[in-house]
Amino acid sequence: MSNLDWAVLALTLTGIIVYGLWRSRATNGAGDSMDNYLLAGKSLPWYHVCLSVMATQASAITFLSAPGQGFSDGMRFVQFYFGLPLAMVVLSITFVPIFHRLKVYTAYEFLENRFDVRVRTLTAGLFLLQRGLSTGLSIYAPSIILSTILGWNIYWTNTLMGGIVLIYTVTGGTKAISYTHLQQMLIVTVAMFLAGWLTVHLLPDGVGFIDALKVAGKAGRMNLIDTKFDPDSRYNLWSGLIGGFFLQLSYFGTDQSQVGRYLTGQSVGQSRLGLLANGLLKVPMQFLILLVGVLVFVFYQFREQPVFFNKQEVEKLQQSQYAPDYQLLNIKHQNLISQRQRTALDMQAALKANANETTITQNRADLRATDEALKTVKADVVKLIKKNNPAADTNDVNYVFLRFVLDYLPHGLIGLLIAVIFSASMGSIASAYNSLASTTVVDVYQRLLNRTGNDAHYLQASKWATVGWGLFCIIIAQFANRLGSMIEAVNILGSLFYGVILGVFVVAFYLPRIGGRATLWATIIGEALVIGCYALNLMAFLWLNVVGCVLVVGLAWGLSKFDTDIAPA
Amino acid sequence: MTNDAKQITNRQSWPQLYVIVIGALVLEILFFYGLMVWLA
Repeated sequence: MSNLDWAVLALTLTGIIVYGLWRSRATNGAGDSMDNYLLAGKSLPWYHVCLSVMATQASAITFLSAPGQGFSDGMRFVQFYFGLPLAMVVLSITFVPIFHRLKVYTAYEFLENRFDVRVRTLTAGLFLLQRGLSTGLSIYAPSIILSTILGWNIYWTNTLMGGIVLIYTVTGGTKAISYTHLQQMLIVTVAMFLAGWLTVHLLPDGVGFIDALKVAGKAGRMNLIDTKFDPDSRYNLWSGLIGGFFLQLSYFGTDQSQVGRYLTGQSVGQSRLGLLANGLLKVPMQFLILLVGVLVFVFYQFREQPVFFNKQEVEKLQQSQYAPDYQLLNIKHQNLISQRQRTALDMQAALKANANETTITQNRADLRATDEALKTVKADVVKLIKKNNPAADTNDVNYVFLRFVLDYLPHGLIGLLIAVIFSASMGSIASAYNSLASTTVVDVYQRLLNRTGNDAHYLQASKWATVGWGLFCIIIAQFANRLGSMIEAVNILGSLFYGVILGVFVVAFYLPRIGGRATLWATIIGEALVIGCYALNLMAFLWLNVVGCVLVVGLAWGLSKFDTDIAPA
Repeated sequence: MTNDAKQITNRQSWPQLYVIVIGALVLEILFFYGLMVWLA
């Protein structure tokens, strides 16, 4: 990174934080109060709610991983988000009016109203455990990529990533988080558009945006919709609509880091509008991020492409006993790349000249065959990397976009795109700190430990809870390198708890005759069974979400048959 | 825009908004499908 990049990075991050703090103070008419600190005084308009919800969901990994996914696997990942608009509609009809009517600070307060304090405390505890640990991993995941590529010290990168957020989250509370979310989303959108535009600009003369799309289509990267119902296929129309719907419903409906965002809306209407706008914008946004990755893929059709995008691992390999094997594979890779460049140029010329279908079909087949051959060579290189360093990260998808940015984009924009990664990370971490603090103070401290404090006391407790959780998450991040693949670790952790928590809320909303005692025992037994299933390796971890939810609902229903503790009608 | 939003709330036209969100999703899926077929 040049001095210009450093200046852009520092200015962007400082600008976001200062603006957020200044705006939150300027609009804090009623002064500091717990309502202001945790829910922004329920004063925010719908577009704030919308951008805040989007910034919370879009982590740094979204901007590192999604373009990499577009590059290596095409556009089909967009289907994963098809369930989100449907979930937003269900939330707007069911969850939002109930949370607003009960004037709750956290989603778990509602559970006491519906069941009893034990169910509330247990669910809040499960959330704190899951969110606390996964936020630590969310700090570590982008930090390890930045530190690997830029040569930064991982411990300092973790501290910087988690520490900057802590400053404005503690000082400005939810309002500062929301105002910074606004700026972060603006920066992210501008930078990603610039990156996409420059990628098209870097293509060979005569290859425009539509030409690039056509090449991507012929190479099988515009695989946007798969209508085949195949349980083994991770992304298709049906898994996106059905599986995605349940996943997004549990995330937005029961995770306080999201519930806390839409509860800041001025009214039920503003919260609803914010969520519905998110439902309208999310799919196109994800489409555009993936498209940047596909454009990077087209760019490399005409240029040299590294055999493995994590350069540091390749350098280690080159200095090892496996260097001769790697050289042979690299020569094979270079030959295939030259072959692919020729085919891509031939195809481009054929498409321009409206050549007959046979020529284009032949080019398409050649392009796909070379792509498969390149994947085989890469798999062999990955095997060597693993042999050389069993602890090496053999998935380079997260490195594709950043490697491209550093190698080909101009100085200044590099700094801005690193700022995007920080901004995205800060957006989701800030919401996590805030939700951890509000759940700790409202559902544990105020409810169970000290019920006689005044507003100023609980406000102070919220600030200290934010500091405490911030430090906890940074410490977790420092130990996270022992957990293997980060994304998988985050997903496994989420899957262990999300399904069970969703089950509790499903019972609360849709099975009004089931009481607190049955739900409490169903939650405890359900969580133990889910952990047991994971420990015994009985199924792929994503299924734990479904199993957890079904177990809690089924057990609660079964136990309620033997229970006199029926919820009041 | 906030005033517009209030008016929408006042008109209680939420079902129409839900239809718009779901309709937009259907149109996006159809657009993506068309794009995929055109570029394949």
